[in-house]
Amino acid sequence: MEIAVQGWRSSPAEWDAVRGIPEEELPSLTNEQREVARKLGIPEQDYARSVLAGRRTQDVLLQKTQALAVFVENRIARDHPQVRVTRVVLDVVEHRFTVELEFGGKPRILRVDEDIVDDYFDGGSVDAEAKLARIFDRAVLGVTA
Amino acid sequence: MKIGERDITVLITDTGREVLKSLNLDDSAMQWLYVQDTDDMGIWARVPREDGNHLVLIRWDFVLALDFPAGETKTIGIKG
Repeated sequence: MEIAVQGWRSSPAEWDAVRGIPEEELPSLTNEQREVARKLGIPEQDYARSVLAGRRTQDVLLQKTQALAVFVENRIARDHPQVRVTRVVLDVVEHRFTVELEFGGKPRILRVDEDIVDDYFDGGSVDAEAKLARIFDRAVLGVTA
Repeated sequence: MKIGERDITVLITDTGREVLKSLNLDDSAMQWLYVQDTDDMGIWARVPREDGNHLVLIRWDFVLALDFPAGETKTIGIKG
């Protein structure tokens, strides 16, 4: 199974945290990033801080995506072991997960709002759990029908 | 599309620049700002001031363009 996070954003906490990092500990910009910083009039150091905050937040988002992948896999394995979860991807800009399932060579792609996943994992919401379960149960019905 | 929680280059109108000047903020036309959130009114940007971070609203009426890097894709595989 492939798990991915497409794109960056930086949480306020990470944005604050990278403000105080000494210049020598910031990531080196690629030539392309340096060129963009120049064109947009952004100091290279500020651009590097943004890249670092983005990468750090991306790691946290990757953990969340992995947690969703495990949830989906367990949910599906319990009732429909013949269905395979092939890919779980978070689109950072859209705040939406794409989950790709496969059964007998037939693909099924579904999208889940990040808010529902946050409500379940962070808020422990019973409603969110029921909603997620319903989404995946319907998707499995679609793929096995 | 949700564009909150990222650094964004914001191109601001002349009127918007006047407003920023009135707030004693940088009034450059092109600004690199941390956008904490957006709503129907506009962009909520985090601006460091002497006593810490402030949140400043830049109304959509004053925004001409936005530019930000979408970012890389990071992938892992947990099972074969």
